[in-house]
Amino acid sequence: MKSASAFIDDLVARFWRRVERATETDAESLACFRVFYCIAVLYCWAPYFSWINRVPAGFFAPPVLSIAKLFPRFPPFPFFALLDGVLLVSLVCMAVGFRTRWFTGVYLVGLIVGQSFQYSFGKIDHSMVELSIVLAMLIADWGRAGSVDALLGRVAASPTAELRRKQGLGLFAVLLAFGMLTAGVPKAVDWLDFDLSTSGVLCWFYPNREAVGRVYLLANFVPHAPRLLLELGDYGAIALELSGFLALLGSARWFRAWLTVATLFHVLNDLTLNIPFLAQLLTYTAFVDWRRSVPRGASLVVGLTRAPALVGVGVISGAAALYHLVVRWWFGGGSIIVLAPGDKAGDVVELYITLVIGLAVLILLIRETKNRWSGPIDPSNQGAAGALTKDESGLVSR
Amino acid sequence: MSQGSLFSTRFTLALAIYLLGGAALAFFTPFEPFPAVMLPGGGEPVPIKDGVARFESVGLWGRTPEGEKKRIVVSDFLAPIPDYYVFGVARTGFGYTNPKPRKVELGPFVFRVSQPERSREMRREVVVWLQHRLHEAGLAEDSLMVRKDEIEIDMASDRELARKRLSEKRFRIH
Repeated sequence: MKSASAFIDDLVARFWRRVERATETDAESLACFRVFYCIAVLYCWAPYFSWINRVPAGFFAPPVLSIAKLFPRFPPFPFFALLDGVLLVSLVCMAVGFRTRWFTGVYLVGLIVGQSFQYSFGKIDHSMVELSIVLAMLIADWGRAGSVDALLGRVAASPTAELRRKQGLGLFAVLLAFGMLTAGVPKAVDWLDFDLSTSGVLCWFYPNREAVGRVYLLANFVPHAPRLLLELGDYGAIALELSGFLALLGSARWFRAWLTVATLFHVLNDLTLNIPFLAQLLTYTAFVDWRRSVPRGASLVVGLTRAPALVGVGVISGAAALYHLVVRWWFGGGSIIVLAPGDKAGDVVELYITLVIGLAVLILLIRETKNRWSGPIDPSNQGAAGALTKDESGLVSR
Repeated sequence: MSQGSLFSTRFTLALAIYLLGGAALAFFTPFEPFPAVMLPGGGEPVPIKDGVARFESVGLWGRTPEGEKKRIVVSDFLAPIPDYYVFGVARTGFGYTNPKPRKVELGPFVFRVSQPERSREMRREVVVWLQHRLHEAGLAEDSLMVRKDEIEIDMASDRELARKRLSEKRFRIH
């Protein structure tokens, strides 16, 4: 019995060691990611739930297993308006790194509550990546560097800081790979038929074009695509979605390469099927070494340790939050995107924004992958337990 | 925690149960939990025969004051509800009728889970909202249809060749 337990412990330890080696980035890169992610979310994907108070309560049909099921109807006004306010302020505080952990926790709880009600219209959007990254960053404590907290000396030296950062990144990678697996398995069952007279890709195209008018960017070219290309699209999606764990357990190099292909996949989805996965794309940059892979990344890392840069981050993120609050609270409208109306035109803007940011993230990840493959040492090729490293407090760990 | 491991065996097992349990509920029952770690899966592949693609689609229809059926632009009609929620909204009775209890089959076991009933006040609110939306669309205020069609499209010319009504649910809005 004891040996079985030891065997499982060993297996689990091996699994996490591999995950750790594939996902490692430093605290400064995580600080850059925090600023980039929060600002991008504020401008292009801001949490927006106050619209729920503008629809009749009769639409309330929560999933059986969700927080919303505990309520008899949608909470009354001004619940969602206040929730939007709390989430937007939390994002600004997270961006500048002010009480970062506290506001990350508030943001996570608020997002779960808001989404529980938003998904009470008979459909659950699969936004787990958005929640997973916030949970992961709460664990990783992404405000330890390049933040107001660090500037004010609120970040206490801790021997577990490095471990927590690795835990956050490792957990996020596992959740992402598992999420992709849940998308790939049903596709493999339904689409893997080696039959050119059926197309899985088209089941995402025609019904959505017909019902909600997805006809933008390159969508009109889809029906004219060669049959073989459509079939290869089916298999490509399946291969990508089933291979997340392989890449993650392979090495840091393979995992970055997989993230690059996943980004390309999302960009193609946006272009052809008009399905924007913007929030998911943004999260992939958590695994980028910003110093090496981003132009002027080293200056950015240094800049974030100084007050003027953080004031700049505060002004940029605060402006977006203020815009959303004024439009929602004052004018009673709003959307998830700054300066885009919340109707069909807003949806089209979302597609273009996803394309532009998607291409930027793709270039970033290509550079990151190239650096990993051309670098002298791949962390995954080091010894089984990884190299000795110093955490922020100077303590040597493993 | 095992030495050199990011997480303990106990945490890892709990995580596995949460992930696999959520996925199992979503795949094998109508009770996908939220939050669960799931991403959009597949769907029935679209058959293509002699360059003609055949698929099913759900649409909203109303009647003009002259009595002719007219397709409704979903995004305008549902706003601010996102247009892609149309399938879910239609499935749950369009906020108008009480949704049917959900039937669950787990092997030999079959049971039904009731859905929340809509009060008279909630129903009245929906009626006013729907009537206003139908009026704005230039349609009669008392008729809304959720129609499922089978559509055939010639892929080369991207032209619709045929449309067959598979089902139609009518709502008398009053």
